[in-house]
Amino acid sequence: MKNKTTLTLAGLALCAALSACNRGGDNKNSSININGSDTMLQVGLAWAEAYKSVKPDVAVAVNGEGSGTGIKALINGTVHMAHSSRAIKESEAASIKEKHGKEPVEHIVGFDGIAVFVHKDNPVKSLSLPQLKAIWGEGGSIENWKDVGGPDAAIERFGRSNSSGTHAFYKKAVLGKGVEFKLGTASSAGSTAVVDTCATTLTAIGYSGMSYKTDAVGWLAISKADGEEAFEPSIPNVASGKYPIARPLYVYTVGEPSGHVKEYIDWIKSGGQASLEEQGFVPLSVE
Amino acid sequence: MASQKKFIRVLGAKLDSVEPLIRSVIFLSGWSSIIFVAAIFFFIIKEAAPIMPHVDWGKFFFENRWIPNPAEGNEAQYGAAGILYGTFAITVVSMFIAMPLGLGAAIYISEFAGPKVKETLKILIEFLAAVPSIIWGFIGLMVMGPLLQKVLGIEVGINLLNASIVVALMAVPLIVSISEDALRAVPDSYREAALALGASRWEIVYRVLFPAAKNGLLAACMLGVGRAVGETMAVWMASGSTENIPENFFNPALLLERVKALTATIASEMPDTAHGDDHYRMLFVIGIVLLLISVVINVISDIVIKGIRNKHK
Repeated sequence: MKNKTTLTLAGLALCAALSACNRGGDNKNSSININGSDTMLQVGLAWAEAYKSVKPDVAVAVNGEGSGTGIKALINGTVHMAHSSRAIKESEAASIKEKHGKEPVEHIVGFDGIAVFVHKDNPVKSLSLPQLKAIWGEGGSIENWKDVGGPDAAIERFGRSNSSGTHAFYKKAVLGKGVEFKLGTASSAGSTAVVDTCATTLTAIGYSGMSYKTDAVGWLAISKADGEEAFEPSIPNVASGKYPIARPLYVYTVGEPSGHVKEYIDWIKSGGQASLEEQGFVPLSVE
Repeated sequence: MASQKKFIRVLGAKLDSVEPLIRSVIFLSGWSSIIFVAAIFFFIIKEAAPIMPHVDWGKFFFENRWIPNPAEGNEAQYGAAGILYGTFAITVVSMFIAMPLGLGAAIYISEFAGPKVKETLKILIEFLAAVPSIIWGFIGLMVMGPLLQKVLGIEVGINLLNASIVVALMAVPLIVSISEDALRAVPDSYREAALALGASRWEIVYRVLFPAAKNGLLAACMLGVGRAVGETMAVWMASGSTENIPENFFNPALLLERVKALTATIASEMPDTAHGDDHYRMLFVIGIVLLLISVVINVISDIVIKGIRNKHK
């Protein structure tokens, strides 16, 4: 009996010692903590994965809890950099200045188009920005697909939740200053949920990042004004500015980055651009 | 032999000296639940407190206009009427489905099923309970929604009915297991006495067992209601998440409209709000409303149970 107890205690001690050993590898210098945009999560993970073959001794940990959460983590100092699908707010920049004594630095790492998704069998293939505003915005007059050349059915709107960066950007870009979303717009559970709903609901219309397109769903070509040529959110169209609903993808750091973080961001802007295209985003320069 | 007796005596003496320690641990455990509940209330009220004096309560309870991140130049709007209706509607409709199903299953398992069927059914119902709530959300969004679209011929399948069915399926195992326990606790002598008086099996159930097991059955239903009010992920994905108040409360088509629940609002908006700003605090106000709803449900069920108990005395 006595031998068994001694053995168990020795085993536990060994486990504790081994786990303490692993801790030594995690020193802050060679790991980069990132949090931020849900839109940029997939490409962020792809970057982290690809960077392993560039710099194997640097561990990159990526979370995608939302642009606002990422910037909040940057303010609190728990991450080295934040992904963001929207520009930093003035209040957030002020908090960073207050807490760290440095201004936040903005790095543009790519571009994203917000696609307007519809069901594959929807006969409507293109809309103009004013029509979109009339569909989505408060006080807008378009409620039925027949008003835009489709069947006689009510337009069911599927958007993102109130805290989403995509929601904020779409509101600003399509509805313009001072216009809220029309009552009856759904707050779907994430970018994928919008696409899934549009894929299974004939009368649905939804907005989400262009990288979330799947073969099961269709998207609309958008023109800047009634009567102008409409363009689909393909990578060349977004890069050339022909597609009107596009936004930069940002990375924010506190002050100018240095060391591992600077190398990582520089790599994202050069070697990492291939991942952007793979994931369906628009790289910084397109030939 | 002598060494074994000595060992038992020494062990006994050690246990005697340890007993006060064990007693205090158990005492602390009992009090800890009260402390945790008080701490939860305190935390939520503390986070919501700064904004409470500034809330326009009339707007909050009666206006359906929830715009916490307004367009440039507009003021934030916190009218939660549509969201309050959403939680209320999902709870009522899901209980309409879950209570008959749950109580019926419990009665069948307890009174009418043979031993093998009883065991199988109990295992299957426990399995229903083991499904994680986000999986239920996926089922509601990707399976049941399109199914409703096909069966009912409607355009949008993710709506109040969809969310209520999913929540009912989540609440049924809870209702079944507690009701079944309550029914089993009724002594067999009651059943035998009723049989002796010539009652049919169904008469035994509703004339003898229901009155005798009323407390437990009611407790089961209250727990089901609590589950329905508090369910977050499944409701967010399956309800269509749209603030909405139907125009006509007597038109059954309101079941096919999209709704948004209090829980889904907090879950969808909390992750991206900045600590301490107005939106953050208003979400905690919604948290207070949810806590109050739970408290009210518990108080009502306590009063009803006490009333039943007094009547039987």
